[in-house]
Amino acid sequence: MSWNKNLSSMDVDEEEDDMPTIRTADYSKMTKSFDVGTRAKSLDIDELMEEQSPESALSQLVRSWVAERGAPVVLEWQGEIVDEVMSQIEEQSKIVDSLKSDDRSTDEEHFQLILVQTEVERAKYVITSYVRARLSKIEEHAQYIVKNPSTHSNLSGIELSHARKFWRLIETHYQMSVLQGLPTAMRGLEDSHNGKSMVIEPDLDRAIFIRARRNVGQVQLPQQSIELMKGDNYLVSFRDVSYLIASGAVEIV
Amino acid sequence: MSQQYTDIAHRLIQQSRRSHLTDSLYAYDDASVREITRECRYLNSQINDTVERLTNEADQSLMESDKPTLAQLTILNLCAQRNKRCLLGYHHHRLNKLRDLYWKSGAALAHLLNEHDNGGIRDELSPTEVDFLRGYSSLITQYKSPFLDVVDITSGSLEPPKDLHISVRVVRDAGLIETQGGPVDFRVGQRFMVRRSDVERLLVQGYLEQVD
Repeated sequence: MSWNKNLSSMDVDEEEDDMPTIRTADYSKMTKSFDVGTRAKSLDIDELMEEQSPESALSQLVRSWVAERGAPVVLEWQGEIVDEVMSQIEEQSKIVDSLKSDDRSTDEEHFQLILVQTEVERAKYVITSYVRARLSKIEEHAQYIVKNPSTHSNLSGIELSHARKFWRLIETHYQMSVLQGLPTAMRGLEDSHNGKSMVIEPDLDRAIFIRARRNVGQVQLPQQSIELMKGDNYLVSFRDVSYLIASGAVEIV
Repeated sequence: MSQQYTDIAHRLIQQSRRSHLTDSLYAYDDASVREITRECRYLNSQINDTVERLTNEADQSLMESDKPTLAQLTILNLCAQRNKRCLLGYHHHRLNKLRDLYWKSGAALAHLLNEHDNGGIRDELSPTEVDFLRGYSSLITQYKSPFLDVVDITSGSLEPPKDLHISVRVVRDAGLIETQGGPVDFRVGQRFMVRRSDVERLLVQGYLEQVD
C-alpha cells in the first residue's frame, strides 16, 4: 500500500508566469515576509540550489549520501565524486599543514585554518558515512547480490568482491556451526519454504521522501497519478519512482 | 519426552529476541544448538524409516497410502525445517550483533576479542564465531585500504563532527600517544583539550571520556 502526500506544492512558479511582473514581485515579497510556513522555506531551499550550479563535488557527494541513506537498495557508486572530494581533502590538508608550520601566519589566518580544518573533518565524515551506508546494505543483501548479476552494475569493483567474499564467509560460518550437523538433504541455504525465500532481498516498497529536481509532469502511481513539478515533495514507495531516481529527475531527501 | 519437537528451537529464538531488545550479547548456547541438531537428525531418520516402510508395505504409490501416516510425515518434515530455520536465524542474529560490535569498537579486533574483564566479548563466542570475526576483520581491512591515505572509514563514531577540538578526561591509562601537536601522555584522571580526530579511537575503546 502506498500513500502519497503533497507536502508542499510549488505551483507558485506557474502563477508567476501568468501574472504581470509587478504583481509577481509584490506577491513573492509578501510570501517571504508574512508566510514563514513550508511554502516560503521550500522556496528558499530552491533558490539556494539554483545558485550553486555548477555544484561542487562535496555537495554532490552530500546529495548521494542522503539518497544512499534513504534508499532501500544500493544506488550507483559515485566513484568520480568520491575521488574528487578525496583529492580536495588531501590538497587542503597539505595547505593547512604548510601554513600551520609557517610562523609568519597571522592570528586571523590561524582562525581561518581552523575553519578549513573543520570543513575537512566534515568532508571526511560524509565520505565515511557514505561508504559505510553502502557497505551495510551490501552486507545485508550479500546473498541476493551474489546471485543476481543485475545488481552488479551499481557496485564498484571492490564492493562487488567484498560482497562475494563476505557471503563466502557467512556461508562457511553457517556450514561449520549449523548445517554440517544436519542431515545432508537439509543443508541448502536457498530453500523457499511456504513462499518465503531464505534469501534476504531489499524491501523495494519502503516509503521514501522525494523532491523533484526538475519538472517531470504526470507520474503514474499504482493508485493515482500525480503532477510532479520542480521542488515538489512527496512520500512514495521506492518501487514506483525508482526509474525517476535513476534518471536524476527526482532526489531522495 | 514431555516436550514437543521444536521447543528448544523456540527457546533459542526467544533468546535472540531478548538479546535484540536489550541490545546485549549473550553467551553462545552450544548445548541448545547441539540438542536441536540432534532432534533434526532424529526427525530425519524417522521420516526415512516411515517412507521406507510405506514403500515396502504396499504396491501402490506413496500418495495413495494411508492418510494418518502421510500427515505424520508432513508434521515431521515441518518440524525439521522449522528447527533448521530457527538455528540459522539464531546464528544470523548473532553475526549481525557481532558485526555491529566490531564497527562500534572502531574495528579494533584485538580489543574486542579480549577476555570479559578487559571489555572484550571472547567468553561469549563460539570458536567459529571467533573465526568469523577474524575473517571479517581482514575483509574490512582489505576494503578500507584504498581510502586509507585520506580517511579511515572504520575509525570513529557515526556522529557528525561539530568541533575540531574536544575536551576529554582519561579513564584508563593509555600511555604515550602521538598526536598532531606532538606526543601526549594520557594518565588516569587527567584532562586534555585535543583534536577529535587524534583521539577518536581512544574514545571508542573507552580509554577517554568526552567532557562537555
